[in-house]
Amino acid sequence: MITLVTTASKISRLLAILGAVAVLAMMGHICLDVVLRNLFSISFDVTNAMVARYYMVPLAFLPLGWIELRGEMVSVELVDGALPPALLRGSDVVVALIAAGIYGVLTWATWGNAMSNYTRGTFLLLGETRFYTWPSYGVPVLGFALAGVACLIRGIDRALGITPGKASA
Amino acid sequence: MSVETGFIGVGILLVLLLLRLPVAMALIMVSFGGVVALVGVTPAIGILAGTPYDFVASWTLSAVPMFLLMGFVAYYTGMTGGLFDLAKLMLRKLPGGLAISSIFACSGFAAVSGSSLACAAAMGRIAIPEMVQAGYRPSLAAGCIAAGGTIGALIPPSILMIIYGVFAETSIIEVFLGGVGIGLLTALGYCAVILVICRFRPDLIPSHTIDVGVGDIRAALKSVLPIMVLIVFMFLGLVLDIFSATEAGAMGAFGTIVIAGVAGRLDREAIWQSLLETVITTGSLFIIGVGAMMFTRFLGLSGLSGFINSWVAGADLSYLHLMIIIVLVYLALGTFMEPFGALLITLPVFLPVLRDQGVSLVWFGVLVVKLLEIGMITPPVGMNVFVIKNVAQKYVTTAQIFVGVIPFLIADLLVVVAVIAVPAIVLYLPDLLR
Repeated sequence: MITLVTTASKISRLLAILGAVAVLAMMGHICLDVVLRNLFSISFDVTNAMVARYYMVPLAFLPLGWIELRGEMVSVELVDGALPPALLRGSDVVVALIAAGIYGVLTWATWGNAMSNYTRGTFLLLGETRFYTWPSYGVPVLGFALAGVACLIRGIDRALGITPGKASA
Repeated sequence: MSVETGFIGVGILLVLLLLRLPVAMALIMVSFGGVVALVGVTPAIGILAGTPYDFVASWTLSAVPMFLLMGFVAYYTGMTGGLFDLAKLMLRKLPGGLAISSIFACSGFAAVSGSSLACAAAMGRIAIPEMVQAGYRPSLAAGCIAAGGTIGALIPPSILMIIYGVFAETSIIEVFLGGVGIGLLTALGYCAVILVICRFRPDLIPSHTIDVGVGDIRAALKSVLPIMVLIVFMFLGLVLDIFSATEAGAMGAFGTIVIAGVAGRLDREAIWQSLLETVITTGSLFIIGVGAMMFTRFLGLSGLSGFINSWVAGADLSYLHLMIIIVLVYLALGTFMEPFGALLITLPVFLPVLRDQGVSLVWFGVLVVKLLEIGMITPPVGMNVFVIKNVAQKYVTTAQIFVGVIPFLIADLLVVVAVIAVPAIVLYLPDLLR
């Protein structure tokens, strides 16, 4: 189980690092566009589409597994203090398993969407140029799938009482 | 039947939230189940398949991670410490000068950060030990910074305002300008509270003097220079139309990194921590946004928004009654909910009603952010209070901070009343833009 947690942690951390790379790339791309536009009147047609499809999408979905593994999703903690430890642990397990189920359904649904965009070869027409967007539809599938696995691991981890609080990440 | 489904959905959502299901998961689960009940499985899967990508793949929303990065870099490189030093030297002759300085420093930090948590944490580390050392009652010192931190989300840039602007389909720059008015009024309100406490409870805030030499002021000015350069850079960039409000986030983040590097404050750890926090906050925020978008569709299909609209019209509620209801709902939600969750859960219900009633959505956005920020310092779940507890645990308990916050909460409620009574406090600057 510990090996499983460690492996999942490494993979999700890697994806989170890709999210961080997307943050830096987005910043660099937008700044370059602003500087070139103001100094040389050169503007990239592709900036808005690139930011929206290839930086924002990985940044939003790839780190989900890591966030779930660290137990950092926003939730209402009103009753946490009032619950006895055993009940709190039980609640953690149920919540993690429900979340895993929801991520499973999201993975399945977005997979269908990704495949349909792949089959159609979805693109945006920017002037005369085709800007292919279909690969970006696969990113949510990957993010949701890993988040689901992370929740499952967190649930099992809490059920077996391996880690006292949040699963190690 | 469909309106009943809407009501049942809202009820189930509240139960799931209380059962500790993450806000995003609760929203997605209820929306999916609700749409299945209303129109069947296939449309529900269609919503589930398309909404996550459609919501996130947004140029406008790119400002959120960029402004987050800017604030986190400013925080982790300690660029904001000089603000407090300078303010306390300038305001040293005022009663309660240290506390007032911390409020001004929070306002300055707010101009480069969109998060009240970062603002409270940054100022708490610096100002609370100094105030306690000067003889301030620790609960009041901690309460002052917990409240002062809320200014971080009021004075632009503000992450809450960007998210609101996207959902309400209103001008983010106008909401930002409205935030300046309420942010400054809040800061002045907090300063007034400190002066009143100095006058009537000198045991809480003792008079204290600071010996100042010319060198001290020069050193303080030097340390605040990077942040002033950044604020001027952002202001000129926007006013001279060099970059748009959306691009301002990226330019601000880049500017902060460059200025911190030039000032010798940037290291690998600061960059890594800033990126890490940006990624975690963005990911957990956007998935709530995805859930809220699905919830909006569910409520639309159920006809609940229309039903509430008709009810408000039929009940002949005055503007004042409507505002009282909305204020009470947000204050109640703020006691136990995190602001982004509370914002995104309520907007699908309130926005159609307010549009119908002809209420300015710019003004409402600013008011909502203020109400949500009050929730950051109210028990039992007051995030700013928890942050302050974390950075000042050797001085105060959580309960003592909640007590210390009370005078500032009174000022907050007076600010809310003022903004509802005189909308021009918020709308003056946005109106100048039109």
